[in-house]
Amino acid sequence: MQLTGTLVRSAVGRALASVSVGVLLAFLCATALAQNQAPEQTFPLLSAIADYQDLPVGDIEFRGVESHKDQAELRQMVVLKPGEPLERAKLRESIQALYSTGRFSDIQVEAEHTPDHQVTVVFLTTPNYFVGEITVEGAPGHPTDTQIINASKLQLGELLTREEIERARVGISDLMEQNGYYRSQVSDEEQPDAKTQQVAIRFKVSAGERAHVGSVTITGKTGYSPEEIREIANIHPGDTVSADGLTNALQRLRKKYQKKNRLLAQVTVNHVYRPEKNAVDYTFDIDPGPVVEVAVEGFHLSRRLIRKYIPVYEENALDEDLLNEGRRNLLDYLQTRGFFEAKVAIKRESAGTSNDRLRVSYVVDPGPRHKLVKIGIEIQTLSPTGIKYFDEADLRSRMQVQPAGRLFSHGRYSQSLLASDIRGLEALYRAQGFAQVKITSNLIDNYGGVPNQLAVQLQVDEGPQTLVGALHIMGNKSRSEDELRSVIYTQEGQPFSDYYVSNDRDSILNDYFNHGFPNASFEASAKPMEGQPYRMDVTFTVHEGDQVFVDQVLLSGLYHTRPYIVQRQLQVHPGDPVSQIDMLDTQRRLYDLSIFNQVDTAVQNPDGKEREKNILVNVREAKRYTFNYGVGLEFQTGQPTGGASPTGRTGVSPRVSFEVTRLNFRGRNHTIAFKSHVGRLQQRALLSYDAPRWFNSDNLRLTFTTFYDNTLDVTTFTSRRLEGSVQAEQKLSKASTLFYRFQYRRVQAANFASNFSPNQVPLLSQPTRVGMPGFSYIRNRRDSDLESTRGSYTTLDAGVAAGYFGSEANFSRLLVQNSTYHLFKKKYVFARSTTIGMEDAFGNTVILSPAAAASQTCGTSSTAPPCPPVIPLPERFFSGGGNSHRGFGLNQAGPRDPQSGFPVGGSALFLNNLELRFPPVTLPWLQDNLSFAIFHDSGNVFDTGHDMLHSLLRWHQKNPQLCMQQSTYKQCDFNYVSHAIGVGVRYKTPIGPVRFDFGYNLNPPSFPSFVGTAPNQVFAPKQASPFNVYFSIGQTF
Amino acid sequence: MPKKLLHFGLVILLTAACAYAGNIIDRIVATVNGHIILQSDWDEALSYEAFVNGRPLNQVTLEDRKAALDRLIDQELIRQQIHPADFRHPSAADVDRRIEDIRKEHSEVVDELTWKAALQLCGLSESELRQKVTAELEEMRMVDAHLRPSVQVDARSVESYYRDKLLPELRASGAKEVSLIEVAPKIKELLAQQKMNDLLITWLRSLRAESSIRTPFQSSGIGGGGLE
Repeated sequence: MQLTGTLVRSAVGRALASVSVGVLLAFLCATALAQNQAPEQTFPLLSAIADYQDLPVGDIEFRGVESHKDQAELRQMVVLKPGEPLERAKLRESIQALYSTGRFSDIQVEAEHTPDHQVTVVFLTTPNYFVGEITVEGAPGHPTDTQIINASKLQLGELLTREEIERARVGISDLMEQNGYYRSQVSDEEQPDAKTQQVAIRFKVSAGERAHVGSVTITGKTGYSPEEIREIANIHPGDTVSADGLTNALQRLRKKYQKKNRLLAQVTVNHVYRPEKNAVDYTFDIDPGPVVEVAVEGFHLSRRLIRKYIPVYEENALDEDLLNEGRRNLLDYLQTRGFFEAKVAIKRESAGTSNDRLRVSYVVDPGPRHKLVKIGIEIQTLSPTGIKYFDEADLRSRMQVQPAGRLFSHGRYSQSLLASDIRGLEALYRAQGFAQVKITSNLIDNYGGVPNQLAVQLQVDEGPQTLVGALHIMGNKSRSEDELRSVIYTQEGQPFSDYYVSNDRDSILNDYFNHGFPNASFEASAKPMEGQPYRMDVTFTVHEGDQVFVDQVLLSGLYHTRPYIVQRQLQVHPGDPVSQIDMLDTQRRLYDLSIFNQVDTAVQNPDGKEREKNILVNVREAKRYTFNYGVGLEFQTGQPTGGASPTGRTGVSPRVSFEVTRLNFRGRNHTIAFKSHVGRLQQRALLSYDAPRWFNSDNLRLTFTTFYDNTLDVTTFTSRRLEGSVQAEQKLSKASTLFYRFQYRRVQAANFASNFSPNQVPLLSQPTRVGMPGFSYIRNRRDSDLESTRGSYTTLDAGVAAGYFGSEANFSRLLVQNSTYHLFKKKYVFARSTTIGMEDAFGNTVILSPAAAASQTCGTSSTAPPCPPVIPLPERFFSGGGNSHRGFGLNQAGPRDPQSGFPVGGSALFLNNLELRFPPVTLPWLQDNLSFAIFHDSGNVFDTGHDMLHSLLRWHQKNPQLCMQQSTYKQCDFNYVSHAIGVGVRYKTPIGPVRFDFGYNLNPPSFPSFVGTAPNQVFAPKQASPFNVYFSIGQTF
Repeated sequence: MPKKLLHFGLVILLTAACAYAGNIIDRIVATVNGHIILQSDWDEALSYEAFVNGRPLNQVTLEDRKAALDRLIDQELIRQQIHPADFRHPSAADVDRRIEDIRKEHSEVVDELTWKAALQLCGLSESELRQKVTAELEEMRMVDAHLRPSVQVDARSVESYYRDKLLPELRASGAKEVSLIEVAPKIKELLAQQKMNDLLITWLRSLRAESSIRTPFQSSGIGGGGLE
């Protein structure tokens, strides 16, 4: 480039005369060729086109483009047409059009004379290649494959050039150096695919030996010895160099100084690599800065509050922003305390012998203390009905200014807060079409004759509301007006405002982008309708641009996964418009398979102007095996005592756990998992096979499970269970799910209490095989699973155990639960739940009441008759506890063993819960996380369904005296509805509310029991405690 | 006989093949932010430059060619920056004047016939010359319109140039001295253009740094845009 021009030559006349031509001509070429330069080498100029110019074009060919389809597309794009004369301008335009597709790195044009005096034009193309799958070989672990790929900064689908690859290699080398691998070698290998124009790139990393720390030099007045600094930084000569090591060293040093209130400490590090020793020398430069003291003057504020409101302590830094934030916090605090006119200034002063102390003072002028007792809002509306658009409560809820109340004992007020509130409220009105809204305020001091008592009166003048009179949508060719209207807010009769027009603009453009129009643009205009100044004639004009379609969907990164697993999740298909939302949906669905660590979707050649584009889907498969193992201690209350205490005892045991999960089994997204933990208190093992998307349906899922459990169910006994099940899950709708299952299990109760009725033990401890087909139905229409305020939740669980299915006990089981949630007064929630369960024995299986079972003599000796099959104890209904009936201890409701007093469950269950949940209470420290509830629980567990039906209206235990006398204790009846009332406290956490419930049973049962061992047993009847306290996580229902 | 016929046939075929063999008539030599510069653009620029400078085409060197391509790239960069609506197009009189200036540089041109011959020698027609001159003036005005507002020349600089540079040069050449008042406007313009020249260099440098410029024909192993 030659851009200089010496204008002043030998004489002024010539020099200044040439000025008009201008220096700038130099770069434009004409005067640029060196006049006296000798020709070094000459090149013939191409004037070949002259031989063909204006000849008619015969045929147009494309070399380097294999597909006929692509050739046809390109033929349409070029301006040159067969039969027309060959013109340079048209040729140029054709080359530009081809190049703009982004598919070619080079284009040459060849011309050939044909015998019929025409010319064949051949476009010789060199293809571009685009970034495809990137893999890494030889990553040392730190950095990981993913970090290395990220360091390459190559983007899927982007044009790949040699410069990009070079840049990627440099980026990877930098990353390796940051991790101490100064001797690493990075090479690359590309596998271009001419058909798809994709390149798979493999970076080969040879990490080499990791560098070690050479010398560690400290400069600056650190206040510590170099050894101490090295200890603090935890960096020593000989240590392995790592990225984390250096970052941690800097953090530790900064923290050390910050802890000493040296908030302005500066710690920097320089490093030099010495290749001959493969060592890195570090030099830490430390300027500890002054000790910073923060004080508040002019107003007494405790140290705790200073630390709370001045964020320099929390952030361990001192800068203007933090100081100003502290000033704002103090102002807020003072205003909440009634000092509405408070002023806070920041003063800095150096102190100490060598200015090594910096005192930051917040100088407070609190002014008089006020109390804002009232905010009055008067709204004037032009509505013919007189109905105000926003009511006072709506407006108040949006205001920061608040009158004195529970939270702010003096209210909350300042001029700036009030001004901000007024701006916010006016914006709210304007968004609803009240362009002329005017809100004025009046501050009344000494309100009600009380000194320093304030009242704020707001006067809201709504003004006229501007509505949309007519809406026209223009320029939409591919999307119908109805389709566009369905995504926008602006409609005839709706409020007109810039706010909604702006939202509609985004909605319409999003709609177009998701239908393959990446260059769509939007304009809106509005004018008042004739004779109707408050009705706007709105016009939305869309410039659609070209629509882009999907050519092919190219998958990469599949090594173990079968392609169809991915293909059936694709939401983009050849021929569809390119849609960002479909691509995101594809990505989400692939992540949902849980077999990929990373899923990227991209458009190939994003900058190219092609009508059809390839969509790339690149996945990185997750590791297929996951092992988890651990050793721990388990601690459990309520273990069966083998003794006489119905509340059991506390047990402690070491525990070993082992889990192995195999994802992506046989290349499908099926999972096999084995989970186990073994301790003295509990032994569990589970083997499961999970096949989501059964029969290629999103709504079907198949699960096989084998389960061994030797654990505690209730305090009465230990349950042993070996179970195999197969379950199919069918999602009927968003809210409804159906489970079909067959369970086959062997259950046994053991470890009965020592004073348990001896006649019942052989009856209840016999191992029973249960084969039970069944189904469950769940309909979940709650607004939130954790904190439901609206909707309903219904479950129905039914099954039949019978000899046909290999069962030793014949019985049917039905459990139905229905819960509903009602929000009223916008903040109170009334929740109710009813649960009904029934079991019915048939065939040779019997249901025995505890008293009848205790009278049985079967199985007690070799001569005794064999015991009849009964519904196994672990299959019975139990109730009581924080998640069921809060008038009973855990599983303490219902029939009890007459000998020991232990609950033995029943064949019917009725439970009704009513709960009124109050809104959160705002309290200091706890903010609005704490709330309260009151509840009423009623119900019980009954011997049989018949007993339940006949006892629903019985609100007291039938003749409890019978239970309290040794002569009649076997007649003790537990079939009645027990009522409990109580109060609950909930504390909101991210995993659901932490819940404390205090239940008081209004009619607790009396029950017989014996203490001591036979034959010295003493009759000691009891009554269940009416007081019960529960702690748990999550709402009751 | 059949052998002879076969040979004859082959000769005819080869002759025909040669007669109808394809020639490269154009190609991309550079791209500037997606806009192409063709071999024919380059050739035309060289022809024009050679003609304006009165040099035969066979004396154009490799360096000349490279420099011409660089200028084409610069022109394209500038064209992409400035909207045509932002400046005044040159009038026909401006174009005529410039062509007249070029014509004066050609001492061998004495009449229309020699003028056309000189043009033809460089492969240019009169209309092509006119087009090139128009484009050149347009681009010059674009740059002027863009840079001139940011250029200020104060009186002290003019005086300093007059005193320290012009007068010594005039004295050295024995020419008659002129007063500062007489030459001040021209010196001012000269200094303004020198500043614009500096600004232009900086501007082009930053434009090149921010732009995607590819020269496929110069690349080896890898296509100008991608992998081969």
